[in-house]
Amino acid sequence: MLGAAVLTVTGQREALIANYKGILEYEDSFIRVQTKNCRIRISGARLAIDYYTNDEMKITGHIDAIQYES
Amino acid sequence: MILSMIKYVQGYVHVRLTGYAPERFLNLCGSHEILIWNLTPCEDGYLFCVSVKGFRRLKPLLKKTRTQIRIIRRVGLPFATYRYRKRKLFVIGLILFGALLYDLSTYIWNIEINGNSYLSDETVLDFLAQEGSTFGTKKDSIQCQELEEALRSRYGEVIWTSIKIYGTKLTVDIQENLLPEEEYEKKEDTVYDIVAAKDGVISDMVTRSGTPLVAEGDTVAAGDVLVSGRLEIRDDSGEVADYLYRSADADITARVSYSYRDVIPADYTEQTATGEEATHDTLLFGSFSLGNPFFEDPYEKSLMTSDTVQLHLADNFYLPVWLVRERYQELRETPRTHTEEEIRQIATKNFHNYLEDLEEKGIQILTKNVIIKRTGGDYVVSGTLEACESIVSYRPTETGEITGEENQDTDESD
Repeated sequence: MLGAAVLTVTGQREALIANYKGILEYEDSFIRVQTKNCRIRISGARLAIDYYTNDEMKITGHIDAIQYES
Repeated sequence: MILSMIKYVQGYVHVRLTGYAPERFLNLCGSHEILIWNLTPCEDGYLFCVSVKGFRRLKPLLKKTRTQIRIIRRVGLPFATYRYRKRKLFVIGLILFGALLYDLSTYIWNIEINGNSYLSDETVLDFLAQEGSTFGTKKDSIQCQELEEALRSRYGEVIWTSIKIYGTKLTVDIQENLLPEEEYEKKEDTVYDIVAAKDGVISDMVTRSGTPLVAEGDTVAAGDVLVSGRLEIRDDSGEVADYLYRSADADITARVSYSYRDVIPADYTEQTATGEEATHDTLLFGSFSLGNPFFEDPYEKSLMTSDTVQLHLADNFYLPVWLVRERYQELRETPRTHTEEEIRQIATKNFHNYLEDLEEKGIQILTKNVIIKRTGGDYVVSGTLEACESIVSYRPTETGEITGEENQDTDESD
């Protein structure tokens, strides 16, 4: 699947999102990210973006849920 | 680790982003490939870090998204150098300090010597100084292997040595030959007689090698040959055919007499310390001395004791600086005369010291006969001692050849 988002989640603390298009919303308790086909909503607590580049983003914090919104 | 060092050298800023569309701003940063890290939301916007280079490129994005940015903290080398731009000398000093420290670490500053018992530390340090490898020598100029060889060939008692340099410390490990050569092995080349060291009467004699010329009970004078290193070999007719030379070896003790004399003056001046004292310190650097130039001995009669201490950094690294402390103690002099009883005590004490000295030398005292006489103002203690002691001393044997005629005579008679 060309251009689909790749999520690498390590435990409950770290998530690496590759192939994303942009940040839609970002707060302490949730992050919404636009990808090619859908939006991904990561909710939790004390979420922080360690770094992000044009196609990769690393989120750390306490992750409760990952939801796909289409 | 390396990444954070690169970030520090290039410099970065902590900033706060506020305004109308911060999310759009973040996306634009991503698409313009401006790296942003440690992004955290706060009550009215976001906090993040961005490199100095990236921060300069943010201006058009801020205008486009109608957001404002505020620098909270600057981190990195570019800011540090800017902050200390007026302290060039400080930086130069810092660099000089580093360079000096590096340079000084290439010299020997401490010497440790292990395993020596016959050789004193001073001897080894002197040896190192002669070889040009003492304190303050450059490490590069020291050839450990050559030093080891030189040390072994200079001192025969060293059978193994290892010289190492760790940091600024030179370690000399020594293994000595703990079995010293026996005395007779040393004088193997020449043959020795045993001669009397003193006048006396021989009381005991054990000969191990050589020809004994005296016996127990004989009276000998100093210099007499007691045991000869020359053995006579006689032929059948009882004439001397040849001489065999071999060092004499014997234990010989003799009764020896000592005369003792001690004079004790009856009148003397007693010196007592009054308890008053003054000290004067002086620093010596080579021939230059630093002290109080106006200081002089404040007392009429005084006892001056002087302590000299050489200053040192490490255990063995001595600086060419000495501290001299002079103590002046005031004395009071009073003329006095000894009583008879005091004289007796002093005489006994002196005599005991004399006996102890003799006994330390291995001399056994047999009889002692001492009297005290008063002559004028002095007391004279005199007497004789009889003692038992070894009178062995060595002298090279006179080597005499048997004349040719004698040899021929014996040949003919055969």
